Amino acid sequence: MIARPPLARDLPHFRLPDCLQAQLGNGLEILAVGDDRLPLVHVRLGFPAGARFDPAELRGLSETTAALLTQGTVRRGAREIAERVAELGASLRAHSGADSLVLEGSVLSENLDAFLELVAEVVRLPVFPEEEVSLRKNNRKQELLAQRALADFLAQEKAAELVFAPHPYARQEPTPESIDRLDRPAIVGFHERHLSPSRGLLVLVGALPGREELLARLSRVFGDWSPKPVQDAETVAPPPPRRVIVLIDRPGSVQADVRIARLAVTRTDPDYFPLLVAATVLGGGASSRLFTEIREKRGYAYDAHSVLTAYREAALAEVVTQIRSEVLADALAAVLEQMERIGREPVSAEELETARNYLCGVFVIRLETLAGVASQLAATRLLGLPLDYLEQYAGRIRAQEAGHVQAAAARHLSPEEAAIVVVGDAEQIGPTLAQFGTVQYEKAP
Amino acid sequence: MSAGLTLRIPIERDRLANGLRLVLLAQAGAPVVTIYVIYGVGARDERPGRTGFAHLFEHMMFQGSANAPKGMHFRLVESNGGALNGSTHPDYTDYFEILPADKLALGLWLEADRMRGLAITEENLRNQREAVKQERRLSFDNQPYNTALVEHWPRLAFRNWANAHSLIGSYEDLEAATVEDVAAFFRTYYAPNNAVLALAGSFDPDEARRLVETYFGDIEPQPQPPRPDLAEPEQTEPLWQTYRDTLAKVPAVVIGYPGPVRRSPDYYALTLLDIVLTAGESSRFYQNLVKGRQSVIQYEANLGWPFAGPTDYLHPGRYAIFLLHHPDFRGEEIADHVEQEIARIQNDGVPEAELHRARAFLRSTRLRQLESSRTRATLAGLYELLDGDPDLLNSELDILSELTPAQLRDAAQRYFVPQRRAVLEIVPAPEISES
Repeated sequence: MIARPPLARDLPHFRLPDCLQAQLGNGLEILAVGDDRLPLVHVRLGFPAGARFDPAELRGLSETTAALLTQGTVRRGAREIAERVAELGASLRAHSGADSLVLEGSVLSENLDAFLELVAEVVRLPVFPEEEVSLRKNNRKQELLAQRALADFLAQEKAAELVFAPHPYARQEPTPESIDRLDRPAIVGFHERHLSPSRGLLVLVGALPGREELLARLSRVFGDWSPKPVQDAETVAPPPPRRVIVLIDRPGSVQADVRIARLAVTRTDPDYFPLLVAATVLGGGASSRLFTEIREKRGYAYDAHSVLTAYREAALAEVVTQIRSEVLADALAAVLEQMERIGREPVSAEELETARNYLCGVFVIRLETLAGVASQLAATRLLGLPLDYLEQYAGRIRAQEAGHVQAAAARHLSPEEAAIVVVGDAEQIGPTLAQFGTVQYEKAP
Repeated sequence: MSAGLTLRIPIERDRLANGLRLVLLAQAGAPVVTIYVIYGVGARDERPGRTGFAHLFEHMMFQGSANAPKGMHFRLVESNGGALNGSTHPDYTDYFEILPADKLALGLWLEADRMRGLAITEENLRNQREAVKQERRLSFDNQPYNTALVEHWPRLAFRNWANAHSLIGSYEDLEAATVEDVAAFFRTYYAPNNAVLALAGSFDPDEARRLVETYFGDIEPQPQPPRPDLAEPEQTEPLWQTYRDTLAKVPAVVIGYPGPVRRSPDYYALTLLDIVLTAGESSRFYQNLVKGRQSVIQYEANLGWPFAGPTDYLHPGRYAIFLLHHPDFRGEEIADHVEQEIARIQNDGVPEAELHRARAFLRSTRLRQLESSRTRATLAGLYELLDGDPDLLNSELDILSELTPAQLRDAAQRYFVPQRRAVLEIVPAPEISES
């Protein structure tokens, strides 16, 4: 038996594997990382065409366009596409986030050529058949109904709305009415306007042919795809953060789902890295203050954590917890005090070290798999960041000292200007919540 | 196309004098190592009056051990750039740390320290009882469908209490758990001879063996705990139950049939049948129920669903399917649609082209899983514990690939039998439940 833990050494530095960077004549940006350990290739093809490009009255247009890309081309019907994907030992789906629309897939490396042809076909020649549009609309309405049965979905949607409106990040989820308004011409138009090679990014990671051979093949498949004029979405700034308390009534809730949300800063802001460290000390992982105080010491909640979501144009800092209705007053006060305290006092040397190492370590774990490398490369470029962002990440985290962390926390985590969203049984928790200020009551949609 | 894809992940096995089984999957690559410890005890080992205890005990494993006081486990892992967690299943409980490769010794030390001795105190127990109750509220009581799945589905699907009781546990039973229960459970089940340690990632196997011997070698073994009696009587009549879910807004149906013995030929046949029926957009359910009839919105299915899949399924269990469906169809109609899809296989078998796609799906899925050291360690650890053969990680795809259309048809006929079907219909019942 050895009574003391083995001493830790320094963390290894992350080095980006050799990455081929190229551009086709039509503007399509290529990133490729060769790795022969498994006979597999991961592919990402992304465009700045996420939900923020949806017209205000057509929420859900981007995600619907993404979902329907694989549901029929001029050459193949939806079933044939699905069967082709399966017989190639591949996976392929398109999804849309706040900023980007991304086709994501992988394939047995021996079938790479055939797969790239299929990817090119769905992105260049989709037909969006009427019957597929109507099925997707019907199913999406039911899916939305199911999502709205989840307390956390309601809280998340409301927090984004309060922090970002009028910026389009406020409306990332569709409504039943907006789904009704979607039709084939709108989808065809969205594809036409936003999916141009001049704005596209193609990432390939895995068992790839050599550089020349790969580029020749990509030119063959994507080279004659003509660029189209694309427009940037109009930018509206989100409002400055402000205190507002919203209670969404969900009769029968046995907990209060709480989100305390503030506008934060994007990855290019000097405050981003110190804020990330601050949010981690506050509520990232099982050594954090929220986990220790709210869960381990007081047993108020199973989960209490913070999350920093940095989109391309704006960001959101949130504390998330689900509190037993009977202890809501004490627990909420304790959470708010932790948000306030991290801007009031410097973090301890031990907390700082833990948070910095945790962030750097988890970052390397995310890049362990080839799928992880492909996703991180795509996400980095689609956020408009240079590739060396990935290599510099750990250095930037380690450069943060207690003073930087406290200052960033004081600027971006103070609960005074935070929106508080609570989803729960209004009859049970309404009066308690009123102790914290004026409460706006809303019905669950 | 399957030629050249035969898997060969190098796997080494060992056993310490105290019975601890060791599985090593060393592979150069990302500078990461996963330490995975799996104990042969789960919710099916619980006794009446102590539902949810295996899971409550899992929480106690993070509350401090012989030389690592409360909070140190979390802090040491995270301050060394790692991530960790644990989870409780019907037949086992597992713990992992993913760490930078040069922190292997630290992870092993932490796991050995809590295998040797736990800080079992009233205060820790009280505290974790609250955390687990909160977890139950969060994951089950406050979610649509989940109460039906954790409380009602097992009671409908099984007669034996060991299989039928709630895995998360009742508030009453959680309240009744004592520190003596915790100590006895630890002594009985958390012994080195009831555990497997699997390591995967970038490390030197000789160095790892030496460290494992140093840290785990002197932990005392215990008498091998008995496995619970899980035997189920044969079902002779179809079962149907309707559950009114006050939190759900979209109706759903769960359909299940008793499954085969793990690693039997029929186990492999059902694994492959599940892929033909449900995997991806080319599957029968997607093409014929989501498309085609347009009755189903989303579905999940698995051997052992909802708490297991083929990799950790143990007999007795069910092959079960969960289908979220359009409200303009009744639960009976959805069950009919599913049964008709099954009948087509029972009558006509599965064409070779579909089998070919299912095999390609299996291989590419397994390759993607193997990229992650955590998945490699988990599968090898499970296969050592449940099968005594971690090399199944390499060989099971070959077994699956050799199945013939006739074997699939025969298995569908033997297992998907209407008299042995159980159906749980979940009906949204907002507002007042007595209506």
